[in-house]
Amino acid sequence: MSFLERIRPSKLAEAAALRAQHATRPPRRLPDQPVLDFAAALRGGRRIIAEIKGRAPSHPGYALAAPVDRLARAYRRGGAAAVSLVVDREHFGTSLADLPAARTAGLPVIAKDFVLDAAQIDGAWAAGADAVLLIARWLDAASLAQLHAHARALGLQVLVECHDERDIDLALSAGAALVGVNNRDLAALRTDLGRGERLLPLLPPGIVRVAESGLYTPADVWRLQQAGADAFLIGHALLDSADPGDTVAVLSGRRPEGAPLVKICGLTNDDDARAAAAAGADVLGLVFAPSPRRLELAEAAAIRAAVPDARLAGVFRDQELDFVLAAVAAADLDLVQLHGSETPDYAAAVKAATGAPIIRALEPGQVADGTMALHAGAAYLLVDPPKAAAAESAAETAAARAAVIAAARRLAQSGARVLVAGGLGPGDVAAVLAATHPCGIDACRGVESRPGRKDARKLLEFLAQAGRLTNHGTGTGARRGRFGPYGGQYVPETLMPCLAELEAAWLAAREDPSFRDELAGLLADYSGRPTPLYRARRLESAWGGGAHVWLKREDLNHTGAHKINNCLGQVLLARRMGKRRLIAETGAGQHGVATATVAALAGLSCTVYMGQVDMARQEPNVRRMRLLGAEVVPVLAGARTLKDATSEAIRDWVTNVAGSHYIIGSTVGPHPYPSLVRDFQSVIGTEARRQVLAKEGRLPDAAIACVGGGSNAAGLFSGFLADPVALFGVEAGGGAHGHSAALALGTPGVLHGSLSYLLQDEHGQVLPAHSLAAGLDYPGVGPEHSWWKDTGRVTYERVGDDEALAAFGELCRLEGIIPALESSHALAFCRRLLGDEAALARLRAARPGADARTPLLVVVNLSGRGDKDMHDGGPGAGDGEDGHGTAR
Amino acid sequence: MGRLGDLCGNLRARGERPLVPFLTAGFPDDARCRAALRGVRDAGCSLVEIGVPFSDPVADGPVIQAASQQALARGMTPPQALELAAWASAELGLAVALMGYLNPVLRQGEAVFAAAAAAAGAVGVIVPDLPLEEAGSLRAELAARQVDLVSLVAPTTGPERLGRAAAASSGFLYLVSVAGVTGAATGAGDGLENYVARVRAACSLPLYVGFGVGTPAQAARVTACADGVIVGSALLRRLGTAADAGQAQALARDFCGELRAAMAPGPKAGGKDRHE
Repeated sequence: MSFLERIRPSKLAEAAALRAQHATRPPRRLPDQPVLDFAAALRGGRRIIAEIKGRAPSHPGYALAAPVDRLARAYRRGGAAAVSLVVDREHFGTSLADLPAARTAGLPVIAKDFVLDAAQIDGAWAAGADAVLLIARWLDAASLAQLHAHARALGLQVLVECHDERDIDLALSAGAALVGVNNRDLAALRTDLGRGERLLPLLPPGIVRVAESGLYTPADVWRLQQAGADAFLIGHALLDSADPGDTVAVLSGRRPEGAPLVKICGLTNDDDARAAAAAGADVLGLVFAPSPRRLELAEAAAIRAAVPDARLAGVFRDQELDFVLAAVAAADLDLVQLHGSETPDYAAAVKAATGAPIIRALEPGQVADGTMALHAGAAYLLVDPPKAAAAESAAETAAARAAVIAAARRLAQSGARVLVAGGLGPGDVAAVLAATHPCGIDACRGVESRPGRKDARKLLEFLAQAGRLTNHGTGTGARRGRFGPYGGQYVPETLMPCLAELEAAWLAAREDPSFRDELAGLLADYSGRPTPLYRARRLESAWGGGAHVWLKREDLNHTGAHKINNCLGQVLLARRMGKRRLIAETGAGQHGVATATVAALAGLSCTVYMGQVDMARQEPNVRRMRLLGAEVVPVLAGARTLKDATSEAIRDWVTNVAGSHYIIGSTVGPHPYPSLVRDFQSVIGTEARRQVLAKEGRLPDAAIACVGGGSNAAGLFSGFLADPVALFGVEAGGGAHGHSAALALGTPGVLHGSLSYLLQDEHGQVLPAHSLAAGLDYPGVGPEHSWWKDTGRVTYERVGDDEALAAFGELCRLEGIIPALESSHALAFCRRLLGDEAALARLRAARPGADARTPLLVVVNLSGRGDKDMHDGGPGAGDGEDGHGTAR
Repeated sequence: MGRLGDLCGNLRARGERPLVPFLTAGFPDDARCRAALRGVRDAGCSLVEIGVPFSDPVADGPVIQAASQQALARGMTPPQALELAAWASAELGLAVALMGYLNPVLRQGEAVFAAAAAAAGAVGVIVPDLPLEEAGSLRAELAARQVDLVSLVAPTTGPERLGRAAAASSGFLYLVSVAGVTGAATGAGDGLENYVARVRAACSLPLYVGFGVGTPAQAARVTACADGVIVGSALLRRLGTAADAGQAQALARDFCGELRAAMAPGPKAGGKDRHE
């Protein structure tokens, strides 16, 4: 007999008792408990519904370890969207009596009961629930529809849980707007994510789709997100976690799996706490132990009020248990860090009373073989140098650091969740992460401008160096070659060893000063870097908006575009690997010309694949490549543009893998290409940042670049990712013949070796892209851009052929610069932005210490020059005066 | 082990070294494709690969690219390809391994695809752009339905990866004969025997060799060291010339018969198949 059948009699009895009770005392909901919108909280992608229950028949060893109210708030601070409370005291140990505690998190709460009778819904409503659960499997069609309507009439949302196609039919017939697919087989109590993958796609658009049960890792969540799930109901992955708040953060994607947890310690005031939280720190530390940064309880409570959603850790040293409990209550601390000689029993008492995960601080000298077992009850072990060693001579500091690293490695290797502390700052955190692979890091002095005051700039740099503002693809412990879910290596087996060889060569070269020097020399003396940052004053006057428009002149590079940055780096790698031949694909011809150029420079042979359509529309570049000694192979497959050229280049590489190096021209393709190309292009952003600071004395408010595969954009953005700078990527909106807006209009899929947003049809066939700009005419996009889109770090916009042509004409006439059609898309968006008062107001409001009179600063990447577009039918072929300049 | 593993194991137990023809679903058109499957059966083949056409087949040479484009242009879709596989399995009694690129599989969802493949009677699946590192979830979905996911190894595959591929694969191990795309003129090149011996030392699965194997002489040479021969481009090139279904069936039957005759151990063993 299934579990559901076994409990039916007791649920019927319970419902009868409730009905009797309601007959004498009608259910009433307190007026200060408005019904929160559970459904709305679940929209927007990867939302977590975090579950609370006292015990579980499917997990006999489990018992709830924290007070309900504190656990609910831990969930919220980890990023949960809603709370699920199981309300069945007999089998699960929690009941409607716990609802008020669950509500203290301020999140919508679904009361999960085994509902057979409307009286149970009335009870949940009166207790303060915002939603209830109905299990389709347990009900006939009529009762399901009736109970659904009853709950809706009370204003409650209803999640209808389904196990198969029949259940889904029933749910939809009953009018369900929220449908859950339970991956658990109720007969066998076994979970199978395949069930969700099968059933979730059956739900029509507009329904909020919830995946339930069997979700333990970000990969599980991702799998069902791919199947269309909006929200994920998660129980034991959280309830069994040493730190449920952090687990929510990992499952919701707030802290990418493998990226270090960042704790900023020793906060002394509201402003610093807000700055640390805004920078993206996971935990803020408040010190209650004797220290220059020690806080009174009232000060701690004030900080809590300033950052109600931050996870706070209290730091104590050999203090009375009652004081610790009072501090936890006063500042609603999420974690407790013990720095003295507190015993494991003392730590257990703190945890039992508060449910707070414990951070046990240890000096390197205290780390021995039995350390982990001794502190098995602690969620984290924090390794910190002895206080006496701080701020002594440089040699002593280095010795202390080495001891910390050795101790942390030892603990991490034995499986502990280790936090590393001890004067870490932006300059050394990356090295410490690489040396220890800890679970997290703790910074205090290293991110301060003076003792006790945090520095917002250093905080951001620290987070960036810790790999938390961008995923570097090869980050410590992260899934190799992934940007969130995107990236990967989807190539024929023949190429896999070769990708490993390339990755090894690249990682070694990055650390090799002679490689860096040689590349820097070529960039300076051969390509003419740094490229200027030029202020386009006549354009500013014409476009209005009161902004300073700075053009990053990548068009002034040797060969006329940013592409040479990447090619110079890759040809040096090819030489290190002993390759004698280069292969490239090209769309606009700029990358083909750059590859042909570096091949000539290095004395290598070169084959460039180019779609026949592109060869016609970028004819000057075809001649250039041939002049440089390259073989240009026309590609006749498909739409005969960049996508088809890339496929053909990959085929050449598979066939000639031993002696050839494939220079991909953009941040696309299998790992390591997206990371490697971004690295070589990051010189754009590094220079632009330095230049704008030198010329204006401050950072820009916005940076804009066009995105095809996305290499010039990745290069520019990488200079500003850690800064409070709005980043805009501009895709080709095309025209009547279609578009190339993979990020705006595509869906995740695999093309040319990586998972990223992609233009594809319902069957997964890749759709042709269209843009007047051959370099943007590509149906995919670099995987890192997909991740930046999902995380919201970069805003992606679309500009069509006509709007780009108009901007092209204006730059020619107003500034005497002929831009590439690709770059004209970025310019056109700049013009649109300057004419958009609301957008300008948002940029001004985002500026720290905003002063309405100082002008906005905008950097536009002028990624290439337009000579190549001077062909029949191109924009240069008209009369130039108003041929296209007045379009739109 | 799934149903492909059972089949390959049985073939090996009987000392048979199968010819596995590859056909692109819907090429040259639906009728001629079905006729070609009949011809393949007439020639005595028991296992076929049916290719699900994809818009961007990076592991394929010009013949299969063109076949895929033509099939897509005629409206072939993954569901129709599965329908064709079901027909070949049910009507012709052929064991079908599906060959397809990853994106259409992801588009359906791995579990949905696995369920549909199993429902169509497919015994195995081959995904040329899904290396070991990324294959875990699809392999599990297929295994749950007794369908084998065949791993590919290439001449560039080193010993360590070879060991992992052998451990992960089921059914048979697909040896890409040369570094290159399908239909390469140099298939079954000089180092073939050494390559097969190297893989054999790391793997107990039957070893089937494909990519660029297209003549009776090559098939005979492969059979001398490996356990099976996969032929695609050479067969599709012939089918492309078939004027009607009758011709397609005859071309497939005769070409596969010729190859099988060359692969047979005795001088006359192939004769019967050839004229059946």
